Amino acid sequence: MEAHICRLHSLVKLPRTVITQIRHYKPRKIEEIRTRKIRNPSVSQMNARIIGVEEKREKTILDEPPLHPKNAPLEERPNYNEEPCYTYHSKIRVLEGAKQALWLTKSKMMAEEMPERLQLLADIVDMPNMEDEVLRSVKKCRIFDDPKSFKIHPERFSFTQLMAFLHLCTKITPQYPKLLQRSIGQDYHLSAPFQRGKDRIKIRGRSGSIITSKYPLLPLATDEEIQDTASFELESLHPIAGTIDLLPSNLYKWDKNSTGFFDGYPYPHANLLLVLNKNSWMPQHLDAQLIFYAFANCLVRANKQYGVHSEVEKLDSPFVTHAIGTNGRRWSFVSFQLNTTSLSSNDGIKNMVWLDSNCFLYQTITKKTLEVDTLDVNVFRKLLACYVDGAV
Amino acid sequence: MALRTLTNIFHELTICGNPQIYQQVIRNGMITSWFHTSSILGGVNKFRNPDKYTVKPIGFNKTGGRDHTGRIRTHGRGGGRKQCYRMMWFKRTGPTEGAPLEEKVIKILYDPNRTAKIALIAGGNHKRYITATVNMKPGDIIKTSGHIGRIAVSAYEGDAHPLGALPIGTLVNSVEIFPGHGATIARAAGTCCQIVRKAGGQVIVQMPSKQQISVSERCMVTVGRVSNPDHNKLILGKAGALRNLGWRPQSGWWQRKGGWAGRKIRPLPPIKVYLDPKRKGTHIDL
Repeated sequence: MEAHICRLHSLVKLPRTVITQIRHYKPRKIEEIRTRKIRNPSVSQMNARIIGVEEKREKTILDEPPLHPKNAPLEERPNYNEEPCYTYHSKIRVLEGAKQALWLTKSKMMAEEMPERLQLLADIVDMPNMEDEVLRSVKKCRIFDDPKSFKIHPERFSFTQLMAFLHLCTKITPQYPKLLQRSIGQDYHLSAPFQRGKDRIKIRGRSGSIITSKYPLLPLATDEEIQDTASFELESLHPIAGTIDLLPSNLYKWDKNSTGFFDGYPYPHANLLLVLNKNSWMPQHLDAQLIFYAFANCLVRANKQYGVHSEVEKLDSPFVTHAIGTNGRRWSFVSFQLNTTSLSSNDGIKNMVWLDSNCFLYQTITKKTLEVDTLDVNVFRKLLACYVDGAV
Repeated sequence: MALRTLTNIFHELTICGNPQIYQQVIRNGMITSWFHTSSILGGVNKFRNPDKYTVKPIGFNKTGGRDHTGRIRTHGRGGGRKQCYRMMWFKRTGPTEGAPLEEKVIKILYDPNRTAKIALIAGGNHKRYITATVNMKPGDIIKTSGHIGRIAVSAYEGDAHPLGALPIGTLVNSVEIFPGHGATIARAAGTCCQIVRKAGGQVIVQMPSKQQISVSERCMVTVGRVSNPDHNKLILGKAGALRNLGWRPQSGWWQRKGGWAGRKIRPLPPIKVYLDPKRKGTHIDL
């Protein structure tokens, strides 16, 4: 009822008796406030009256400062290119796995084993009490590392297992003194651009840690084997494109080619990559990552020698790196040899890949009885061979 | 009162759906500023119409059977397991000239939002979800083409063709009513339509309910039956299984059977004709 009267009041003049009944309606007080404002004006109102001009506030428009390149539109940024570039980094899982990585790096799968030189090394290199020490390191990482918790996450034991094995590997240094001229770099940043067909591709990011040395690795295959790869035809991914799941973007530096280390670094040559499979990826995705980063490390060093985007058909001295990926339990080994940097066409000499995946260090572990089921020491021997290679 | 009714009418007029968006989609084919993967999902929910297509499952809140106005639209919904929405691509338009578009089946997956199973397919740099057919398996290569030749195509299962290109009697699923509008008919588990006859640019199709419709020959269909044909034989086992799917129990109140109960023999309704909306003259709208 009251609200109804309120609305009508503006149109019709009501008698005084009705108005007094309405709650919060105080016309006298409102009039008082109005008159008080006129009696006691503010300073600016006074000044305006003296001049005889009505007070008007105008917004002063300052010159807008130039936008930060991050906030500027895409096409005005300094690193903008019209042609998109497909990037691969360490968090991408490619659809076709190792098969896609072989196609993009233009390489031939030589064997699903380690190369012969490493197999020989695995037999030769030996250390006292190898089985006991490997078993002790496994128990240390899986059982005694954190006895309070029921289960240790692979994010932890994958790292501790790798570090424990590397610690074991250092025991051979008296036999092979060249191992002293090495260094381990963690979380190095890499960027390697190349052209595959009509597409621009870039491999970049932080893969893990890397062991570098003063001396490069010797080639794994002979010149005849390299020449034979010219007749090999790459396995096509039809109808899927090779660049599926890679990130296309127009903002990139096309000529940027960096190893992650400054020029004049005393240990420039990449020997061994160490990649951790913390998030328990499928083995095919890990294998692809190993091939990509082993290839990129070779390509970056070749580009430094011959120049960026210089498509050399056959390199005089091929570049070689090994790569190891692990979950702590499942291990995979890759060795890559870069023979060419001309990747735009499918013809000609190809690069080489040896892949040995799905090597289980052990099957199960029971925490109560402290038992490790079916320990395979050959996995550690393979790691040792990769580590020692180049220092023999 | 009269004023209030007038304002209400104006309010409804302003809020009702924007017909221009539908026209845009039909005109330009597949992708516009507002792209649609299906015709049914109009402008109702924002999460189902983002700017970019993704294969990632998208989370959403349960409606409880309520409309956007807050009123109950379907009775008996509520609770249940949390679900994610997969963006289905119901518009399988192919090239009218040249080689057909080829794609590879990667996975066949379960989808909580529908009874049929879905297939993840990839071609070029693109991945998308479609409804899987019965015999589809990972590694298959499926084709889509918009070409209508003089001779009928001998199509394989999972391939998509316009209705005019296929021979009479073939079993098809996910049928469009208007060309380029998105598949609406025969998308549930184990269903299929049959091509009955062709006449004057129109094709007559028998739906799973045995009713017949005549649609344009340019409407795209996929060949074969929809997957998961044993869906109707599934035994839930307990009352809680239906609650997990988001259905509340039915009313325990006893109700006398009405005129709907019992066997009846009725003639089938006449053929529904859906003419091309671009064609001049009279045509029926949805």
